[in-house]
Amino acid sequence: MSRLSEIAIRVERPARLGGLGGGVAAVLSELVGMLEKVAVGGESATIDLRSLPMSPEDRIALQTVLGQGEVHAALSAEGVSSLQETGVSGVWWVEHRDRQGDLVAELIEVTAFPKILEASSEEMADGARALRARLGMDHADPARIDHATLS
Amino acid sequence: MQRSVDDLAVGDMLRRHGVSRRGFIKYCTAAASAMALPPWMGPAMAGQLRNAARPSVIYLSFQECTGCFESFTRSFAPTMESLIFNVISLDYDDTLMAAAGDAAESALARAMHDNLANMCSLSTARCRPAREGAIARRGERAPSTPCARPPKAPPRSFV
Repeated sequence: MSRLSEIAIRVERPARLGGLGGGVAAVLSELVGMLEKVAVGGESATIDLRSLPMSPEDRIALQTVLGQGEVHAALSAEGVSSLQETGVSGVWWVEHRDRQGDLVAELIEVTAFPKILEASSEEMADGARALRARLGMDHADPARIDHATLS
Repeated sequence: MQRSVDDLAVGDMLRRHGVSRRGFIKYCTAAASAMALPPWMGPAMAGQLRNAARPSVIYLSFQECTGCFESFTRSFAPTMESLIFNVISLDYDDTLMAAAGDAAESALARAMHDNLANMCSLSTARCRPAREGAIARRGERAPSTPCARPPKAPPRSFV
């Protein structure tokens, strides 16, 4: 009987489209559709990469095709998140990590600007109140600033 | 005017505990991903939960060894008092609540009436209808409703 190491194994890859794996081609094709919709005012869309059966090789191929864009944002909230615009404008590669640095979500967002980066009006109002208190500004007189508290 | 703890939404509570809106969105996004839900569900969950009131919880103990409850009382993260005062609204638990007898039954009825569509019914152990419900009888409930289950079962029930 042959030993395990003597059994020949040949890995057959799925049919490729334009040199890309089937999974990568499918994601790119979906991105094209999403991007076309968003470009004409449609709703932003997201692909959860962790839900797709993609090999590390496919992931690298996808990143290579999309390239790297001009904008990168880092978010520090319950761990670090990276939001990188790809070379395709409006397509963002988003990685969320927990406090231990483990990847907890990996998404491709098709949007002008990832919504998680936006400040909410509620938070801005809170910020204004906090600054007002810090400056010693009277609530009844928004224009008055107590400069003595600034020094 | 300072709002009482009972009036605060989940988002306010989280903010008080140092969890930012973005941190919460991120947590919900990760949870949605882990549960294989559509990616838009994460931010949607975060948006709904942030403005939601603390969920009303009715904790019913039945034929059990009380091990679940003993574990719950020894929780450190979060502590039990933090959980029942800050995260949920524990409206009925016959072990923890100060009320007993008719007052406890009234509290249960009131919690069910006020939150029927939105409450969580948390039950530990089996609820056996055998022996006309004598094994798991609660208050003066008739044998036909031996577990003192609400007349209409709540939409969410965790056992």
